[in-house]
Amino acid sequence: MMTKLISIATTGLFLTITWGGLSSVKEPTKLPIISPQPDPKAESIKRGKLIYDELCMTCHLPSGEGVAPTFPPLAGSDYLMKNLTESIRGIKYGQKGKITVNGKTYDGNMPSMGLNDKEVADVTNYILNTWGNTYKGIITAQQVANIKKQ
Amino acid sequence: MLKSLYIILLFFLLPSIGCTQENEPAIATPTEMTYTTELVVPELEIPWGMAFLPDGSILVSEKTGALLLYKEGKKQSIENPPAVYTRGQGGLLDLELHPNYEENGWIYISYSSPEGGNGGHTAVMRAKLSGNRLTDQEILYKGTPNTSSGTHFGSRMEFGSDGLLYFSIGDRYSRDQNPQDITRDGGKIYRIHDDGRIPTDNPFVDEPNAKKAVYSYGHRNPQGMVKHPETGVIWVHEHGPKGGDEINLIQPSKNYGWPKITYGINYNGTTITEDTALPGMEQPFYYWVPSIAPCGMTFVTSDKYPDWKGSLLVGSLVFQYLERCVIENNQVTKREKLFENIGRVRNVRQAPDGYIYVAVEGEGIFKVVPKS
Repeated sequence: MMTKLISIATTGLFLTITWGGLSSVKEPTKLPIISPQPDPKAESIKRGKLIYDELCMTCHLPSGEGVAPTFPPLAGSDYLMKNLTESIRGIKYGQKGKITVNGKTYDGNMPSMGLNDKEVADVTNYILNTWGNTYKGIITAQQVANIKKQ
Repeated sequence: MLKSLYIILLFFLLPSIGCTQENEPAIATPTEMTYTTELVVPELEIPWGMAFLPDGSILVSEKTGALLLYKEGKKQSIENPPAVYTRGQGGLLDLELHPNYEENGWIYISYSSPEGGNGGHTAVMRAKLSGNRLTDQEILYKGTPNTSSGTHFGSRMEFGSDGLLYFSIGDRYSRDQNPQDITRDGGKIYRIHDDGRIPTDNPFVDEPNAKKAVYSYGHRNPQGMVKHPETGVIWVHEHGPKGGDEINLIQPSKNYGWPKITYGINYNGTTITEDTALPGMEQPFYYWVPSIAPCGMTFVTSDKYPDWKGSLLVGSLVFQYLERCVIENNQVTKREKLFENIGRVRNVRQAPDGYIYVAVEGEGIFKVVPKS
């Protein structure tokens, strides 16, 4: 066992030295200028994660599992996927009253977080595409703007 | 090999077990309840502050920014409340009356102020009620610099036996910058005169660059504050991270440790610090693991509740009950959950009429009354 470990370590060390040596003699290559093609959805999800960590995580938890029977799960939530407009309305204006998520009833009160439409879109995109959740499209600020209080 | 693997595993698991171990005493459901609740102010969103005026009316602040006066069964909107930064936990926050309110009419209001732009920070103002209008507004303190963060504003206020105003500002989601640095706002308990002047005997008045209003530091997000009815000591509770909510007895210049010491961990389960105690840092009077998300606190001193006299009541946002802590020999010896499923308890106060009032999100204000 010990010998094996030593041999792995030595190989690693050898490779590091070789690699380092090789790259140091290389001519510095000019990097081609790549015009950045930001993926709007990936960017939105990235911004959404920051909002989630700041304002949502304390109740819905880092992996979106929620806390039964008070805070419904977001990961694998059938309610979320089937009631997308209602869910976005909830994030935008707050959510009160009974909802059924994965067969369990939740009767809570989530306050509005005071986010602007772009931030609501970002955090929704994050939730819809994390912890195993997948959503083909992208939620835009315009879509959020069109969702009004009921 | 297998044995050493277990030892390694144990080594990694032990600290996490240590951090998440439930703290004693375990909470119990009372076998018999002699009190019940009666909804007195209906239909509120997030009632944060409650002030009980001499004429029996209740002044209520809604986090959304509305200031309401509930008088003779009617809700009246008070005009001209301060502008608030409402992101996340920000908004119109706590209310407190001057100890000589009947003579001078001063009402103290804490709120997240957008003044200066680029987000907000906690501010304290005093103002007067004139009819249905808030007048004579004077800003007494404003945390700086503003940040866009919508969390950890603190906000609770209480007048001490010294006639000075104590208030809390949370760490503003900058735990590594604010709580341990007395030259920065946030993560502190503050003390000022009723007109905003800095008391000359505040602990850091002679420290260069210090925020002179700071009274104690190393706090995370204190949302409960009450003066002990006998000792006069200011009791504060604060939200911890995952686990590690604390009750602290505030003394001048003391460091309450956040984030250098804590009984909590990060929400994702990783460690914040290995330390629960360090020299020069205060231990909490009590800590909650798991977190109850404490908000609002009051001592029961009136003769309306003989069964609860002397207890400390604390609201729980996450478990949606009112917690009763029995305190004997300078420690919490018993914990009880009252009014389970009442909703997210944002505030609890004993009013001058001797009754306990409980503010619940999405519901309103309940009065605790003996069961008939």
